[in-house]
Amino acid sequence: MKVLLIDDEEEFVTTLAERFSLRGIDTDWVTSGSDAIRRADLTRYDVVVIDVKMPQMPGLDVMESIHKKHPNVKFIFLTGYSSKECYRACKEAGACDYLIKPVKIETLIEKVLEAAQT
Amino acid sequence: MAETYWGESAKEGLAFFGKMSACISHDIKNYLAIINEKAGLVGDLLFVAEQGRPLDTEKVKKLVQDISQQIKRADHVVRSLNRLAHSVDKSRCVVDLNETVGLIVSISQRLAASKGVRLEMRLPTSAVQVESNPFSLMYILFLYLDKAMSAPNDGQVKVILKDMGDEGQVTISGSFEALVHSSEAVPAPIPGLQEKLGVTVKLEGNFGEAVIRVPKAFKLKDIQS
Repeated sequence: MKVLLIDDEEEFVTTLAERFSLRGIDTDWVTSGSDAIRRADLTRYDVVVIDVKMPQMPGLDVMESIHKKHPNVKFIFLTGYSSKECYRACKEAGACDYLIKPVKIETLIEKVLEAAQT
Repeated sequence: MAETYWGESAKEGLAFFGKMSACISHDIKNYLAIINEKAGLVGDLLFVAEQGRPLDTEKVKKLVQDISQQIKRADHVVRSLNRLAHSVDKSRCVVDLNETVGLIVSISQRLAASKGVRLEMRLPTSAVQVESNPFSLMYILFLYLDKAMSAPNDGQVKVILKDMGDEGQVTISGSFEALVHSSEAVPAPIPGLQEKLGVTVKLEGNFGEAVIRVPKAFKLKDIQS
């Protein structure tokens, strides 16, 4: 399984990536939607964990763009926004899950493993 | 009472307060998320050390420093929230424009980043003090800053405060020209609120700048509630 983490807050995403790696999960990270789209074209990812609101390209737009070429990639949104509207929009657009930061690593990894198996 | 300056426009004031609070709470959430992961990684490293892997003490020290740094950032944001909250304590007092401009720019950073805009601020070395209504001043400054962030110059908005002797002058750069011809160029409550505070706003520089002038001594009008 290969995972891509996307968040504009570099301190957050690099630390999360390291925690994933310590658990034996092959993980890459980027800090922008445009970098994520480029990476997704080069590497086959099973699951993408992504923030909802990012500068210049929101998470939903990133998912839509990646899904055009790689429809089987599973998306989990990990965000600080606990908005019902945002949750609904992400789920209706095809996200596997929508989690609120801060999140327990065990919960996140459980959701990632579930998504990879669907 | 602060609400006498707002009258029917009080809901706009509440909306502003809500928007600022939302920006601040989102920032705090982000810092908490980083602290959560950094502390979690310390736990992970200690766990694997207990399983036999050598502990990288320098890495743990660095993580502890990182956590401390994030706590400082979060504390700064909480102080901003506190200052915003206390801005409604008094309807008239001495307002430090350096602090007020600094606060609005600081709170607006994440909003600016979400629009791909860089905020640059320049303040004079000495405090520019005016006698005014602090919350209303913040609202006026933010409204023009928000407009500028929607139409920046080359992705940048500059906020410059100058001491002009009898007034403080805040210049906000942006492409206001398009906004001048829009029905939403000047928010409805602003002209009345500006008048009550003695604040004047002019679009200058071929509408590339909003120049906000705040008199240092102004008899705030008694308003019938």
